[in-house]
Amino acid sequence: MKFEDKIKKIEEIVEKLENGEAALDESFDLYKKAMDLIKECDKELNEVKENVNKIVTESGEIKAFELDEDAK
Amino acid sequence: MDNKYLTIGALTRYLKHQFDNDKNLQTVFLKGEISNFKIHTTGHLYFSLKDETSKINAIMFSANAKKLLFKPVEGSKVLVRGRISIYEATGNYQIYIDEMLEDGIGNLYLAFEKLKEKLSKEGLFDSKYKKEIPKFPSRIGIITASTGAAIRDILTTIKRRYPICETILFPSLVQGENAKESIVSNIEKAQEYDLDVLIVGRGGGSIEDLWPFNEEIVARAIFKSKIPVISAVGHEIDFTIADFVADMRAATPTAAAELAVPNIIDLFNKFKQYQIRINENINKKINYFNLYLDSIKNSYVIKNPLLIYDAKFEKLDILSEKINKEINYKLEKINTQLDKYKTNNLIVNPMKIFEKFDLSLSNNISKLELLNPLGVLNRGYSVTYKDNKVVKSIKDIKKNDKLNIKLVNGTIETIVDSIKEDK
Repeated sequence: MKFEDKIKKIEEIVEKLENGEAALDESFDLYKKAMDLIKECDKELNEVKENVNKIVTESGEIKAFELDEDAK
Repeated sequence: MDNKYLTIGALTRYLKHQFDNDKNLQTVFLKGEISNFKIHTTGHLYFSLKDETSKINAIMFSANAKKLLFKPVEGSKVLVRGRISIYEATGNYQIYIDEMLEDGIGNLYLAFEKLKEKLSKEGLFDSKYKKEIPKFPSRIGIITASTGAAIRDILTTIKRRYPICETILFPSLVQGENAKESIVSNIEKAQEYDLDVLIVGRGGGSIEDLWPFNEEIVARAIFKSKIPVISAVGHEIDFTIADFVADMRAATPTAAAELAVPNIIDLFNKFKQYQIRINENINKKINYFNLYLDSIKNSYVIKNPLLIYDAKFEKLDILSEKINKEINYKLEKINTQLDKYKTNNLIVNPMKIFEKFDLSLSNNISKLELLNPLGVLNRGYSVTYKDNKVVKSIKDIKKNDKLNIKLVNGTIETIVDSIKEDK
């Protein structure tokens, strides 16, 4: 599931739980699902990828791009 | 021959005729600088146009001068359109200007307005074509120069707000003659990469510097892009055609980065909020059901299930008692009835039935005898006749009436001596 879809799903579950639509046993399933999704999203946000910045060269090759801090 | 001498007027008219009929001179575009600028009280403009090598007199009539989009002054660099003709009085040739644009900025402004109107009519700016910018992009394309403030602002902003996102820079020329082609080819190239959003822009600069973003091919490339485009050209005040055609306009490159990615801190807070909310909700639910369960547990039947049977037994007792009572009552009733029968005469002395029968029989016989008139005579009674009719009342007879009195065994003939009526 994409990150965006996960957040959407979490929002849906929270709403469903809060407006009392869910039966008790369903509530536990939903609760578990939401907590898992939140954990996953949290983890994804915390995983700072290396070489976040890339550059496409003339030949179409992707290389790491380091910002030249001196450039003005 | 005097004939070979022309008047100056005739020559001038001839020349003017030649000029006026020359198609090349009927519409002429010139580029030059204004000098000897004069405005006549009538509103006509008189001046010369000159460049490094030559000079031409120019006139612009007030009707055309009124349409000018700028205020010409001495030294203004201008682009003009007009016709070349001769002013007969002086014999000078000059340009009669129909349209005059300021060279440079003014011209650019006009081109901008013209292109904007054209593309607007074509619908390139219509909101129905605007693509949604994804909220949580994982890969962002950036088309700008690989050095300078714009790329630095964009990358630092993205890194600060949303470091988990990947950025791919498509280094591009962003000013000068070849910038537009460079931007267009990079937009096209970017389509091949799996990008969620594309930032196209540059930092601030003069209107000429920003001009590539007002070019038609750039506008069309942005419009054609399958990837949502955020334009980020110059400063807050700078509006370019690219801004109108892009799916979203950012005032600056920094703003573009802010629009492209969410703030990770906000997301963490959001998750925390969600966590709190669903925990609260589930706890509330659990508490509620616990209380409910407690109330059931404490109910007296669950606590003392035998009580259910007690009540049943009690009811059973009451019922059986009732039934017994009812039956006894009925039995008693039957018994008393039986007793009654037992003491009855007929049961005790059945012969009495016949006795009674006998009695009634002889009674009936006596009754029959009573009805026989002879029987009556037998018991000593008599019947009195007058004229062969039975006398029933004392009123039927008078003194000296002849009466016959019949007895059981004979008749007395007699005459009435006196009558005595009973009171």
